[in-house]
Amino acid sequence: MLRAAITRRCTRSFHKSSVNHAASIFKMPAMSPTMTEGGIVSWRIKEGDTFNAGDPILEVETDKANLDVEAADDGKLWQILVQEGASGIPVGKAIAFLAEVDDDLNNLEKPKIEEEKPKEEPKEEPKEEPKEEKKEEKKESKSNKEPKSEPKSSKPVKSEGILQKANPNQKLSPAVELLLHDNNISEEDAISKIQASGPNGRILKGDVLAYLGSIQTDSVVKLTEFLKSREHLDLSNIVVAESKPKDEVKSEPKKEKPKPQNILQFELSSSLQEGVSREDFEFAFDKSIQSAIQHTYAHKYPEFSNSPTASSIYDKYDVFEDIISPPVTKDRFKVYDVQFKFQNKSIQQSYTNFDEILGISRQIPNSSSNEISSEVNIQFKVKYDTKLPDSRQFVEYFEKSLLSQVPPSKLKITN
Amino acid sequence: MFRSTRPTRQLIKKLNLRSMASKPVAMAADAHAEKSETSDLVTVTLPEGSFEGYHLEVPDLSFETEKESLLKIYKDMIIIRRMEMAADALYKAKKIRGFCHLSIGQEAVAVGIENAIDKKDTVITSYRCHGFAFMRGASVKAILAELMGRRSGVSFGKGGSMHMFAPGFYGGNGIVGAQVPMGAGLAFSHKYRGDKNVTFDLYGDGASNQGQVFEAFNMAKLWNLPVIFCCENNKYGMGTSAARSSAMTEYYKRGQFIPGLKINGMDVLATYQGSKFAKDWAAQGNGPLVIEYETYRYGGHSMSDPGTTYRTREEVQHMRSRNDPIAGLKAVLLEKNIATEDEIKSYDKAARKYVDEQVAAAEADAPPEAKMDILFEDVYVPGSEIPVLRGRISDDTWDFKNKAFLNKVY
Repeated sequence: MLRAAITRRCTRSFHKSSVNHAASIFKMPAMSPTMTEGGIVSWRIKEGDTFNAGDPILEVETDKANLDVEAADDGKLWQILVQEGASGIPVGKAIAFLAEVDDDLNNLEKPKIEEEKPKEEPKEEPKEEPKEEKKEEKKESKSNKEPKSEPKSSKPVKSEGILQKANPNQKLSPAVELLLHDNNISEEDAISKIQASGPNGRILKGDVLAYLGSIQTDSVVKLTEFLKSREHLDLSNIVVAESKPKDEVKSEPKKEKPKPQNILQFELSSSLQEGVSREDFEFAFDKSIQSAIQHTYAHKYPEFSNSPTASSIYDKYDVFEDIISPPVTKDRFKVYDVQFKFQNKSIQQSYTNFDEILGISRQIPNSSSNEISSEVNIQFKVKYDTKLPDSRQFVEYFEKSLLSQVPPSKLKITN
Repeated sequence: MFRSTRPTRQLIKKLNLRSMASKPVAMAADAHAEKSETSDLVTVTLPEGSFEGYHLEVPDLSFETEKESLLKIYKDMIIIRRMEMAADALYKAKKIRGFCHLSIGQEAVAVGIENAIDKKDTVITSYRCHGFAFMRGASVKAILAELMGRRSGVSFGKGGSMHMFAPGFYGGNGIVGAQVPMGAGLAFSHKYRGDKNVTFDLYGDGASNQGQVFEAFNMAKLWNLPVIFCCENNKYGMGTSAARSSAMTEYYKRGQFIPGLKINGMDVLATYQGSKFAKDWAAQGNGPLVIEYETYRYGGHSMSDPGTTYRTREEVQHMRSRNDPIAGLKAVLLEKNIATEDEIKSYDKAARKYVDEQVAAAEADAPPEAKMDILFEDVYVPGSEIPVLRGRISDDTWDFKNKAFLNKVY
């Protein structure tokens, strides 16, 4: 029992000794990182009241909002130092004394604020002041340097508005830094001697080059002038477009409707020999076109020359051929709209290559005996696929193979 | 009755004084206490509903533990609480700047996990890391110094609140959710080395919707890694409640193919028992586990969040008064006659005094010197540096041998 009592006493003494700061100073809290001062809107509790951790103690007005200041710990509000309604209280200023819940307020010692104040505030102030002074000094020293160095470096340039003094607070860009380093120019020298053309007195690479003499200062000025003239979009000259009369609009598309580029018109004339019916001729002509087409494809794809149709399906060709050029099975061009005009004229037709073709199924006629022969005008169109890169070549070869069968004078190709 | 408890109490006092003085000594004292007081066991019975399982048999609700360890848990929690409160005050006095995320209210998670694992296990967490850093061995002074940007800080005053490290503690990570796959990597290293240790890989309820969390789940299950994915669900991801951000708020079922366990994160004995179970589960080669610690933070998400715009003050005060982990353990200590009211008060006072002293000590330390080589000193483990670290331009290229820029112009 005794020992237990002793230990308890020990704990109590320990307990007491641990409480050195009987009352604690409650300072104006910074409720946001940017807050430097605030006002006290209201105290939520009265002097002498106890509070629990998390209870709002007072409402503070910051630059952004009114916020409740919560208690971090259980305690008691002993004395309010700054009353409600006060504003502009700097962060860190003592605004109240807090005591612990079980503290006897009568025996408490008030912590000394005055001692702490000068300790803290002077600490902050002297730190700040010298910095400012130093900065000013630096600025002054720099500004002193500038006028001295000006006459040395700056050649009188007409456009003073364009080139300005370098801003001493700038961070030089890597390009400028590298150039300065390469030419052993210190940063201070650069700022005092080099005239800047960039925005807000920023030294650009061109300025350094001009200073070094590797480019003309005029060109820097010109370029900067140009850039400045284009800095802002000039919208003052913009006028709402007038709506054009409808007739014009309508007529234009008609004119503009271009002939499709990929359609070729073929015209050729031939003579129809005696004993050849029109149907036979048409059939023969069809055949000749078919063979010309097959020729064309066979020329490009000799391995398929024997295939029954130009576009018959074969799988044997190289897979990669597909990527390089379209497969053989793709139709490059199409012959359509074939029209025959038969004219009965008794013109002697001489022997032509074309007749030979026509006479696939016929015997070669005795051209000399052709007295009654009729003229045939044939028109047809060829449409080629523009999506395939080689279709134009196909058509050209098709033309050639036709020309080889028809004398050029008789074949007319229009686009 | 007194006879059996007397030596304990004396020890507690010694321990109390010492642990406040320096942590390693306290641990030595603990070890000593464990040897001499092995019979000093208590049986703890957790309330129903402390655990919920998903494809898992929940751990036993009752377990035996030493009185000493319960006291140690209590002291750890109050020190973390005090430390975080000190950080709060320092921030409001503008002595801590920048990011600062406090874990007031969530102490039970860090303390419960640390007491359930050993020093060879690894822990990785997000930016709410002060408590974990302390539990893993960083001193209060070093943590506060880091927050105030002092050279004596855990990251030498260059990391700040988000970047704290300790042996077996891999941060302190600023990118939301990015630590989860890294934790899976730590678990892979355990498996690769063949040790029986595990990784506790913590993230918040906000981060649980990050894609890389699920990628980590997949790899961990695929490779059967000894990793415990721990979702610290404090109900609010920044200012958005869990229900407004997550399609499914039962975070312990998020593993789908990984068994899950939900733990009452406001009860440190539950977090301790659950974490211990999880450690054993993963160490025995059962693969990963997803744990949800259901907890609550009393403060805002960070120092720039007052924390009362998206939830009511009543809700916070309700959690404080009903579910506080420290008050909860205090009740257990009193109920089991492990400590008296006065003793507990003395611990509280001692913790407060200790933290106040550490604040003063940390504040007195100097910030890092404005030297260029201090910038580069922690890029590589000393001795493993590359000769030259390339910079933006040649002027920025750092020569590790000469501790200077290779092409100095500044």
